[in-house]
Amino acid sequence: MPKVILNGKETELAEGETLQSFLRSRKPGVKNPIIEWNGKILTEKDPLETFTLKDGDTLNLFSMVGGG
Amino acid sequence: MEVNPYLTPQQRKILEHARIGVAGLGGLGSNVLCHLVRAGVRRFTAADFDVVAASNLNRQFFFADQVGRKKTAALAENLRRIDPELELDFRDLKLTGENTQELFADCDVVVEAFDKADAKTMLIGALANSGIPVVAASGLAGFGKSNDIRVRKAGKKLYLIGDLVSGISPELAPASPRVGIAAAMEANTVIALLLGEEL
Repeated sequence: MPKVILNGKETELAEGETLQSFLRSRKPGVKNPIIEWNGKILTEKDPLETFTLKDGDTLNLFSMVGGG
Repeated sequence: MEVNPYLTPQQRKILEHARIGVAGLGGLGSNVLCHLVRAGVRRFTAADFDVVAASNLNRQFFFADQVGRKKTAALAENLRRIDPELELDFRDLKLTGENTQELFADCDVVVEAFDKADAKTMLIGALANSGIPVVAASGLAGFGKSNDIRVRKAGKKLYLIGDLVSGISPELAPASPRVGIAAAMEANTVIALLLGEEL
């Protein structure tokens, strides 16, 4: 089973899973995330359904909440 | 007159030649600018379309006699009372995914200082491939928990400040001390990046 490192923890991954389906199934509660995927910064405006995760990828999610 | 007489000649040269972008002139932006001006930064590009409201005075660098005025004009006036020789390009406009990259193209660092969460992600997304470092904030409402507010680096050029959880809500309002901590940390991160100091 392929795995990604999600916020520092090994998390199992389906073969050929996209970043969009992974986030929807594993992290449905994180609103407005900044996504750091192997060092690249993405938001939900990026075409996440076109990015395929692979074994050993590093993924960090940062929740952007309101206030300033 | 030098506002900050404690800089080395090398530090002064770097700070005076830098141009810093600030997206939003509210609790974060107005206080970030106050800190950067006092530290010796002089050139800024900033945008906000709002006017000063009485409810802003609990945390923003404005005064009671400025309520109703455009934030861009009122803040320029306040900052020039600290340093009259500032070069301020303050725009009364709404930043979008279309105009953000162009407005900040010649900035050395851009500070995300919006109130709304979706505007924060818009700004970060718009500058993600620009090569310009972005210093952003998330999670600063309420009181206490000072030590939960910290700096995280993401990717090569994004710096996130806050606790990432304390969003504003009817139960959790933004207040001067905690917003001020985050604003000071944003300003301190900008200066560390410019001078090559440890974050």
